[in-house]
Amino acid sequence: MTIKEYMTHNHKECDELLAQLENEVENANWDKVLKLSDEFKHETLKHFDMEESYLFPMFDEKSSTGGCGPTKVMKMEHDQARSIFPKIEEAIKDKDSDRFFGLSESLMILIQQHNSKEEQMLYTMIQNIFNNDNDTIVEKLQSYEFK
Amino acid sequence: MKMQGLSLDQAPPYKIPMIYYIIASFYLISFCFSILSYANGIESRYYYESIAITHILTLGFFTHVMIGSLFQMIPVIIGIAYKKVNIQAILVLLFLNIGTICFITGFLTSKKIFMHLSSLFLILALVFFAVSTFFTILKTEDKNPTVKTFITALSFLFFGVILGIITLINHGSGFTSKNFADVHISIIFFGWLIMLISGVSYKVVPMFYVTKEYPLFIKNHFYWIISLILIFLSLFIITDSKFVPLFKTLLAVFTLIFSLTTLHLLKNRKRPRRDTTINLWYFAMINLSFASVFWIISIWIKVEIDFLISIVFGLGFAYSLINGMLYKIVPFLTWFHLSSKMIFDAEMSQVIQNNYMKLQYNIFIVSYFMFLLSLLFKSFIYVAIVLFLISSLILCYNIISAYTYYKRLNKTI
Repeated sequence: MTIKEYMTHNHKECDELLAQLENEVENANWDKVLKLSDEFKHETLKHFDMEESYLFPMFDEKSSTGGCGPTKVMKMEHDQARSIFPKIEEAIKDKDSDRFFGLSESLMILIQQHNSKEEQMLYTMIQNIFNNDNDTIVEKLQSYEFK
Repeated sequence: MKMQGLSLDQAPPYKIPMIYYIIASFYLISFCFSILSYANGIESRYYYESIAITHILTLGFFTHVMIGSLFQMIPVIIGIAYKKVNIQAILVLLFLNIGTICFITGFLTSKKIFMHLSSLFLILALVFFAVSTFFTILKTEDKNPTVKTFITALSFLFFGVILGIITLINHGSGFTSKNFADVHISIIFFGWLIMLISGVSYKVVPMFYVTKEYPLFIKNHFYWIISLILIFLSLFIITDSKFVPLFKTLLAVFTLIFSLTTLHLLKNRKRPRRDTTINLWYFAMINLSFASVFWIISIWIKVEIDFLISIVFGLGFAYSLINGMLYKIVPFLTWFHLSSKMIFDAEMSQVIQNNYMKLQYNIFIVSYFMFLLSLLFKSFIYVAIVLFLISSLILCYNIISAYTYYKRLNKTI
């Protein structure tokens, strides 16, 4: 598996968790909603952390952008996504499905257009730079710990 | 490592796609008033009034929304920015509007000077846009199926416009332009519209509705198969060959395969919620399937169902899909640009009221069936047009209200 394939697959796993979460809200299974919401948030933030603490610094160093290039924009979009999580938790706490779906729609599209840019461009460049260290990096990503 | 041009913050300012969408919705309203005025006297698609009205919808509404969306979506989907996007977008908008207005005026008043002026400005707008976007997309390293499909669609836009202009310039000069007009229609509808929609669908359907990916056969082969059929079909139309019906049928069959695949993916999607946008996607793809079948029937059983096909294809498929895309793009863009400015009070669900979207959708659906009924009972046409006008006014209001929502919240910083 390449770095690009691993990270893209990780995107898809997060998408499926959000779809499951929406499914449970649609069916008003609020107990399951809480659990899935935590799981989705954890996996998404873990993915962001993998990039911000591991992949992006490596890429910035090697590509001499000093963190001012594409990774800066990606981090800003991560922050935009992070700002939606507390609102989603609020909507779940109030069992307000209309507000939840408005917010989940925003998050879904934000993440999708963000992922598209990463998969189309950034991961391709990361793959090209670190192709020789591919297996080591994928192993590190697979065993990545996030608290 | 070559980093030039690599910035992922490449989307144009909010006002660029929004200006295109607002102007498009005004054309949609003009389209309703035009058919209200001329509906009774039109009996053939080659009537001057018919050509003018068709182009209010295709150039005025469809093209504005498609170009506005591409200025926004290309940097996101392909990862490459347009150079000086503001200047490009404004120039294309200006030339496209002058060209469209001259075109409509030329055909409604039968004045050749306006037709020639429209040729000039439409070439400037559309060929410039096609070439600029073509070379922007070529810069990407990852030539995936969407990229290849987009590049092919833009090539067809280029040739489709050139053929349209040839038809327009030679119109009424003794040179028969009917065959060129037929090739122009085939290339614009299948080479540009369907091709572009298929490329967008490969990305958007799995992303927004969490469906499985399109089958590799479609993603890797649909674009070149359609291209090949279109090239042969164009040559056969111009030379009045007996193979025309066969190649038209092939085109319809592959379009049907695409629409049925999309319906299958949407039906098995993982996101459960049925909102207005998914209803419009379903409606569009069901209509594309019917349009393909009706077309095959009209080719082999000599029945005159041109108007039925144009309603099913034009309103049922193309208009519905564009309407659905607008309801996905406009609320997101508005929210995204506000939250990028740290205005976190904005919520996407407040940008366009859900009730108004549903109302507009429901009125549109009723008007669509009234249009179909009008093929049997002529008087229904006026009910259909009035309902479509109401639906278009609500759509226009919804788009403008998104813009005013943005302005209102933007003032708070």
